[in-house]
Amino acid sequence: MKGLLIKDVKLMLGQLMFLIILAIVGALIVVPGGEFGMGFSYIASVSGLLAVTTINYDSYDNGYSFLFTLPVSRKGYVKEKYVFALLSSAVVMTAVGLLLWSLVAASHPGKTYAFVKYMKDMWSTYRIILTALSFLLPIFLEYGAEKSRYVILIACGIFMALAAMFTIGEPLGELFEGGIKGMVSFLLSAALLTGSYAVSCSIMERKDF
Amino acid sequence: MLRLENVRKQYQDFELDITMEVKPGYVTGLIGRNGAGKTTAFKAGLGLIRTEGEIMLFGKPLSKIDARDREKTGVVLADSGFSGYLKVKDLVVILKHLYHEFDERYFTEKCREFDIPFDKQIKEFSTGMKRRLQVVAAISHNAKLLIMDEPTAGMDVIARDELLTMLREYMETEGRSVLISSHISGDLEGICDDIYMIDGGKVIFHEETDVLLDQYGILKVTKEQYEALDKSFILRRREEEFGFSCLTKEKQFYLENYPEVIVEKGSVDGVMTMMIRGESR
Repeated sequence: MKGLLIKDVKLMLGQLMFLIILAIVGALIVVPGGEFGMGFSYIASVSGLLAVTTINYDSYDNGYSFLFTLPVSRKGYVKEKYVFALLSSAVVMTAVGLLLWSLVAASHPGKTYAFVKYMKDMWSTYRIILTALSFLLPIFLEYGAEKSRYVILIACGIFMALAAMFTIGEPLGELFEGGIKGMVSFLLSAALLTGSYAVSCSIMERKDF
Repeated sequence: MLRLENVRKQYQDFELDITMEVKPGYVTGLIGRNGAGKTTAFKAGLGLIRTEGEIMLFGKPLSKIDARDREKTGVVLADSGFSGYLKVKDLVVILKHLYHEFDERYFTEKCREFDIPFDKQIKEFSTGMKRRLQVVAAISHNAKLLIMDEPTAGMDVIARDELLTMLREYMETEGRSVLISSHISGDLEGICDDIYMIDGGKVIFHEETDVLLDQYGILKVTKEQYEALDKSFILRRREEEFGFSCLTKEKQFYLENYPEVIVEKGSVDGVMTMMIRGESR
């Protein structure tokens, strides 16, 4: 798995310019008004999508055929994709989130958005990412690069909708409050992710390359 | 090393139905026309497609092959390779973590020898350069079996010769095997111990290369000569303007008994043409 993780990190770093552009766009969304509402949706979309784009790189130009001649089982590949998606989305989300928070704090000294509250909202955003990834990973594994142009559009919609619902819509947002509700929500996310992993494994097991 | 027993794969307009074996210590060639089923056979042997029949790799059913077993194979595919968005310097790190026995020094030396750039995305490489990279990567982790689909495609004569030399060096270590396909029959004649020809998804011919080159021949006969010929050892015949071309496994018999007949030495191309274009006598 380590070799595959390194491959995906290298592929992601290859998109460094793209990451910088995304950060600038994020700054343009958040900094002028000093509001994070749309910023969270944006962070969730960007982090989650970046995590699944490596699937496109793998499937592009019939790449899976060669990939599965390497010492990589199909189940091992799926496992790596989930681990990478969870880790990379957390890292990108934290990096972009902190950058945007710093920019807002610097440009709007009067507006206070407590760092602790900010991090708590980020954690909510992360669980939205996990929920969205639970749907997106099997879709990307099923359709690969060929049909992903359409899938990406749908994915953006899913991300933005989920993010908007959970971060702006108060009743749903409360699901991510602490205590029992928080625990239930965490378990639901974990169950969804586990189910998604099982579906993804079965998708890859039955594929011909 | 690798055995495919009655392996079948049905597509809408094509069926693979193949039995073949790569023995330990052997370089086995697979030849056939475009669309004959070579790549499908390779993919079947690698478990990339679901098939009926039995496939044994390193003495184990393919379904029982794990990542550690996979480390013992090195693969070059005709239509697939490393992600074009990676660089060779990235591959060094990746391969080091994928293969326990990855020989970084050998890999980097061979890359330099083949003028493969380290700091350029693979998608910028020429077809020949991509092939060279794949071959070097396949050889650099002490694989027991190399499976190479058209490894010389897109290479010039010098690069092909270097690659074949590399394969010969690879085979100097005991217990290693290679399954290779190439559309350049000369490559196969020079390196293979045995050759399978496939056409329409089926094996139409299998022979040791030495036997093919030494004992097979193609007789060029007029219609009158053909009538007078002992046809016991004629495998295939093909009508020509001058009469018939006949494929035989007993070249010597005809050389001795029919001195007036032109007998061409057996070659992979000649035998394949006769097996595909010719008819049973």
